[in-house]
Amino acid sequence: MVTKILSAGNLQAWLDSLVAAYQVYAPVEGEGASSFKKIAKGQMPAMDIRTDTPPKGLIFKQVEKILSFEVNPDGITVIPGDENGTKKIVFGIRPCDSRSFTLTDKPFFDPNLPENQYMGHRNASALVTTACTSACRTCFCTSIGGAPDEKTGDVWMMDIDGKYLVESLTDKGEELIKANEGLFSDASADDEAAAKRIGEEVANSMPKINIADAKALDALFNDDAFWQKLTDKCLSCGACTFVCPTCYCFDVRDEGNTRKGERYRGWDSCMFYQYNRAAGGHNPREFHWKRMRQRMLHKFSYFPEKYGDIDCVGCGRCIRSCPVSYDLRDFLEGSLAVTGAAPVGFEKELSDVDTKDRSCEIKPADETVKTGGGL
Amino acid sequence: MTSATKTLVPTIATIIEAFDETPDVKTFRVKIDDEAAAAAFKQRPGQVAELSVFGAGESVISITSSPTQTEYLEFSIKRCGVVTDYIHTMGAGDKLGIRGPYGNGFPVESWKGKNLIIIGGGIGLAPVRSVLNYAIDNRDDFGHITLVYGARSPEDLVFKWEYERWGAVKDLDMNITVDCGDDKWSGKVGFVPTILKEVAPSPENAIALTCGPPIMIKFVLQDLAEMNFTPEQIVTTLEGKMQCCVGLCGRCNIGSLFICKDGPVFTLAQLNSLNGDF
Amino acid sequence: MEKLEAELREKAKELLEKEEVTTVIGWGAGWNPAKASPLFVRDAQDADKLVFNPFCQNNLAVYLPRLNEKAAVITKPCDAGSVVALIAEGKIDRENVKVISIKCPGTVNPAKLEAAVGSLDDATAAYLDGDTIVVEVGGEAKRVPFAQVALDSCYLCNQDNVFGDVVIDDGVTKVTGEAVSVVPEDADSAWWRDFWAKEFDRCIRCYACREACPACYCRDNCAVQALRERWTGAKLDTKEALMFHAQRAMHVAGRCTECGSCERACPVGIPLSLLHKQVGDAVRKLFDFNVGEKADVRPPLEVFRKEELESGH
Ligand SMILES: Cc1cc2nc3c(=O)[nH]c(=O)nc-3n(C[C@H](O)[C@H](O)[C@H](O)COP(=O)(O)OP(=O)(O)OC[C@H]3O[C@@H](n4cnc5c(N)ncnc54)[C@H](O)[C@@H]3O)c2cc1C
Ligand code: SF4
Ligand code: SF4
Ligand code: SF4
Ligand code: SF4
Ligand code: SF4
Ligand code: FES
Repeated sequence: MVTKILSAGNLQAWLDSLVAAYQVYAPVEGEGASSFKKIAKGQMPAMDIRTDTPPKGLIFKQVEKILSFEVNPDGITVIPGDENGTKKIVFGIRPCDSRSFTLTDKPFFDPNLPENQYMGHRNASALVTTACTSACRTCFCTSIGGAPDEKTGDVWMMDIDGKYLVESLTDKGEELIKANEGLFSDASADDEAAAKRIGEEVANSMPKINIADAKALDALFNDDAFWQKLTDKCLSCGACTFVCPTCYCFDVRDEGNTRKGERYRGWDSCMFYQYNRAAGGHNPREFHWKRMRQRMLHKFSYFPEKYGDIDCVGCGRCIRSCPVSYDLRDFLEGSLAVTGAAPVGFEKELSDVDTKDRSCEIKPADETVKTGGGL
Repeated sequence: MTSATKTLVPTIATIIEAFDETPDVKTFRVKIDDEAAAAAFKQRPGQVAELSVFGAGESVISITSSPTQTEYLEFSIKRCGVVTDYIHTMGAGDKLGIRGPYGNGFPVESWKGKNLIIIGGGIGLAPVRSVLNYAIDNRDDFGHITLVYGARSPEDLVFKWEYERWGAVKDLDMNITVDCGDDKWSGKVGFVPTILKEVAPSPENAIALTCGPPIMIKFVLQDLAEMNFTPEQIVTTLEGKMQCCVGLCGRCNIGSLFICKDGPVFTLAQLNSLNGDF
Repeated sequence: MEKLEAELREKAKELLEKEEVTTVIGWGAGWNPAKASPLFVRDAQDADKLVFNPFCQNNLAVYLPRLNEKAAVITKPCDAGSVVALIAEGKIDRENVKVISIKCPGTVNPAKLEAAVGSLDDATAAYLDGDTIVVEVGGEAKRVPFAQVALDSCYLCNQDNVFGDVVIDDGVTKVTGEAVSVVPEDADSAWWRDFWAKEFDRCIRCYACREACPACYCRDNCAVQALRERWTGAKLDTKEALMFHAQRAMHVAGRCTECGSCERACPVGIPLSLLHKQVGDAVRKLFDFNVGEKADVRPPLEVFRKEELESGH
């Protein structure tokens, strides 16, 4: 792996070279909200913002066609949706957002039952992570095991006083640098020390929240009053989960008619009433506080129990986007007070499900897709 | 795994036979079209499949036939919503999508030599029927079999066409009951838990399997406990709204487990240790 | 402002102590000083957590149709209009609800404020000082005229006849100013089509607008999520988003008070108020009806008059 310096002046040239070879998505200020958009040659992304909507949809599509079908005289023809993905680079993604994909990988890269479409998009994408040189009031990545300078993605870069320290983390990332070697110069030990110092400064500027462990939180399950009080003001909309980079629930819907149509998978939210409403009307999560309990426990108890990591990257988007300013840090602090549990430090690196060799190879999908189980 | 079938993409199957069980339950015999896919579809008793009506959607349905029945797969479906309503309009020759088998199924291998007590209510007989027929087809592997099954009325009983065959199996004690009889009904009348108490099966070397409406399960569990069945000896299947059946769409969880992937079969001991919305 | 807040807390305490209500719905502190967040006070001791300031954006009437307890709700005059509309529609159990109305100076539009003073993220304090909004950041006080950063709807708000079981009037003067979101005089259907195509392109269909709307009380039965007659498709595109919003606009026509709650709830800043104003204008013109004015008149689209059929309307 290589570590290089890119002058601020060469950033545009690097981007232009990437734009020439790939679809490049980067943070763009927009009317009403900032988001990741495809950039054109000569376009400078908004390098200093954390977008209002997450880059999640570039890989875990908000609406993905699972298949299209058509009835014909011989039966039904079923054409599966896109499983190869389009080669793309997600540029200027924050460490928290970059980390979010490594979390979503866990359920979707299940070796026994891999989900081919997510995997296709994921394999076709490379992430160029930009470390944060300042934190927002709602950021709490350091409390869930991340860091403003966490090295995740395929390439990692940081603005150190007007120039970028750029490091490749995977082979794919290295290629993005090597193909443009002329734009980079060698990095010195001083540069790396500067980056380390900035990272520490930013991390130290962020308040640290203690989080009770998965088991202690699950023990809160039957404390109805706790959840009711927490949820009083919640409106049961989907804003928090739709702007959340780690939420991955979906529902499946058919469009068209029974002769010809498509089947889509689309983001769903555990905050919606319909999420658990079964045929006949039974709904085990009928009340909004039961749905809030699901959201909080899924992220901070069930997912860690199953996969070893909290399913939240501390980006704070859910807090900012909530129409009633529900702050999940209130849950974290409140639950710690109620359980009296010793907080667990999620200091460790992402657990060893190795994301590196499969996350970001830009190769045709059938070379990388391993399937098994199911039918 | 055949290359044509991916996680959420079903393969095509044909309905070879369909008949009414009750006014709102219909049984479908289904054969997977593609030979390789059909051969790869190896289910255990208690597993489920996602059936598709293209253009209407998907539904999770228990495979009610036993794996020993290799000619076709059987599904008994209650009409209660968009997909199931549509399926009820279908018949022999119509095409469905199918993917699976999914779920853990019943651990029948570990039950060798044990007595089975099968307790079902209404359409809840469908999942446990796969075990019943499996045990009948491997009769020597299991001990005594007790069946307690009930429905609201005689016309709501499912699998009536099987009773004669089941009745003739050796060491099989069949108890069919209805909540309310009618003129023609000469069998038992009473709720399933009441009949279960009368039958009073012994917990000795036994496994009790139960599936049915929540209220029935509630009383059956109490009664089994009174009869000294341990939570490890009691097995039930859970239900919940599903969309993917592969542990991805999120909704069917009980704590950190998914009904679709880690279930639908759970022992009472497992359920007691889980906090969940049922 | 402080006096108003003190009065409010006193009233809330009294209602809870006398057990006239089991909860008081008001506003409490938000995650930055330029934000307030709805607060359900169930314990008289907690009444002191109630705040009232120009950052109390949420229309708390939204909670009333789903209440199952005796509650008091604190309303600004515009929110009180929503309460009246809900009573007119028979959606509030009048016996169980006490309305505490405040004559308010107006509410800040956070987007305008941020445009004027920069990010509110590092603010250590934010308050109204006479006719000026003050935001303190890093020891520096940034000042901006309230008239420049209030919600557009505040400029039009009429506080002469405020509805409420209790009306707290502290003699504050309401902000005045010019609305900034205005539609060009010559806007024709093509202009509107292009405008909404651009805006709805970023709608993520999170339904926050709907859930924040007091008139959208259908919630779980909302037509857009119906399993059968599906009016909007699964695809995420401008057309489907437009379909959802057009449907919502029509459903709330004649019931929408143009409080702007939907627009403020939107995480991607879609100017929904313009849509509802357009529909509102049509309702005013066609039916000569002002939503939220009279509690004993059913909304015009809910009643059928024989004359309408005869006159061809
Ligand atoms: C493990 C398991 C085994 C089942 N076995 C059988 C069986 O053998 N026979 C039978 O008749 N029914 C069975 N069901 C119930 C069956 O899945 C639902 O009745 C059916 O999905 C309803 O679909 P619908 O479109 O008609 O209803 P709608 O209310 O229109 O539902 C829309 C969608 O929601 C989902 N959904 C709604 N209710 C349920 C539910 N209860 N369970 C799972 N998904 C749901 C489906 O994806 C459905 O397409 C089983 C359910 C589970 C979880
Ligand atoms: S839960 Fe909130 S803070 Fe955590 S990742 Fe999701 S949006 Fe970010
Ligand atoms: S269960 Fe809720 S919190 Fe968890 S991923 Fe799904 S939507 Fe997000
Ligand atoms: S965004 Fe806020 S109001 Fe909406 S569901 Fe989430 S917590 Fe509740
Ligand atoms: S949009 Fe219409 S159906 Fe949906 S909640 Fe609002 S009023 Fe009800
Ligand atoms: S709140 Fe905004 S993004 Fe969400 S559905 Fe409404 S308009 Fe769309
Ligand atoms: S049905 Fe999707 S997770 Fe179980």
